[in-house]
Amino acid sequence: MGNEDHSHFSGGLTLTENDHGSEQSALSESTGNEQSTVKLRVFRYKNLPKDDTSAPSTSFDTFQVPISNGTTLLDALIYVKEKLDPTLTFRYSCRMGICGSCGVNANGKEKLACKTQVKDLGENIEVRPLNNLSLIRDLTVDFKPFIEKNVKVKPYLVRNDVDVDGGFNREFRQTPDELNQYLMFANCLMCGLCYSACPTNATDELYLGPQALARAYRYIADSRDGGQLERIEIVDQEHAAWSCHFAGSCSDVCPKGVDPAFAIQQLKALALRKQGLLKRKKPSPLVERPRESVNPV
Amino acid sequence: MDAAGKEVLKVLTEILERKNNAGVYRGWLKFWNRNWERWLYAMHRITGVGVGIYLVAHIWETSYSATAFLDVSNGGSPVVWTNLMSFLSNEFFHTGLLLVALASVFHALNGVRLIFAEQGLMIGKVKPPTFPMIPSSLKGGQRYFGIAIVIISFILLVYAFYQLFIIGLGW
Repeated sequence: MGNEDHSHFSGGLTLTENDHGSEQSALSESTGNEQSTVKLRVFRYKNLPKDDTSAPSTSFDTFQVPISNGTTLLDALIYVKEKLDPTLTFRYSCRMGICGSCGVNANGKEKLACKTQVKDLGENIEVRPLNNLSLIRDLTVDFKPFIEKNVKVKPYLVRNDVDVDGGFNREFRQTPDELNQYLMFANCLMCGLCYSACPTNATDELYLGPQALARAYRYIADSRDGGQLERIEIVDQEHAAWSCHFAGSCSDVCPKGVDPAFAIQQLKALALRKQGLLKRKKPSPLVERPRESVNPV
Repeated sequence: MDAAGKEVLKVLTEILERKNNAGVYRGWLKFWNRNWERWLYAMHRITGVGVGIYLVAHIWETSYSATAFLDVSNGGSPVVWTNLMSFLSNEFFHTGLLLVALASVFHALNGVRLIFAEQGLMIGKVKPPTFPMIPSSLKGGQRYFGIAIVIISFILLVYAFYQLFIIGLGW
């Protein structure tokens, strides 16, 4: 592998660039599809010890990756890890758009690597980690603040009129129409793409972010929930719903069709002029019979 | 830079690297591969800053000439105002006014669009998740309103050009 260093300047950070070998592989041996090659320019980050001044902690490495019809960005990254550079670090699990682990920024837009066809990205692809979350290594970022913000909006059913702890074995009534009021928002994978695409998160670390706000709306819109006023109090803040300026990028990048921009505007409307409606809302009642599959304690 | 300065710079750089925030450039201004609403968002910020700078300059310019006008010991004549206006009446400054007119109209109308959206209006209705799962907020009435805002802004730009250049400068 011939390494060639070029100095770059990006976002105030000095970066180096390494070009890795263009050896072809047998990736498409089993597919029989027409094969071509793409240039994958991958962001690298090493959390070096403080006394190590041997190399900069950020750089871009370029890899030549053979692709065929159906090759996803995740396939390409796995190819790099298995054949070219085993030190490349990234997260993935299910490989089919369910777990939300493999979110990356490809050519300046957030995508799930497993759902993204490499051929849709062109011949030169720049892969960066998700924005607005601290780097751990290469494409891996720290989701801790993201998860903490999700927890802040009480992402669970709140019922003050029923004891739902312990041996609770009853269900709440809900019509299909009531279900459709929040079903779309319940599809959230917590992949972090919206959080990375959001321009408010780019400069405001305290902002709850589109995911947490959409999650708050998901429970407020749920007919079984009784904690809507507590949540409105949480989101009716400067660093919550009111920091959103409706750029819509969160909804644009969501791989599951969740619409956080819609949810946040609804939260603002609820906070502004519909709190009376929420105060009058009665959470849905329990069904008459206990679930047979659950044994009461 | 001495060794201590380099050390401080290194630590700050490392903190910035690790934090990985997109910042103003990548977060606000790098919008060309994004959705239409993100373009409007970026333009709203840029025009807001532009009109804000113009307002400060305009207040300074007016207060400067008004002070001279009201200064009786200095004659209290409108000469200062007249001189200032003749200094500003040229293609360079009128092009600036043209941009201010465009920015003001766009910023005001887009503000109305945002007020509507924040009331939950023109952003569509909630729907069950069905393929192709296009978010309702990105295809609601606000999107067409956004397109109309850009068209109206450019129509009024033509009118401002007529007033500033044809009538004002006698082109």
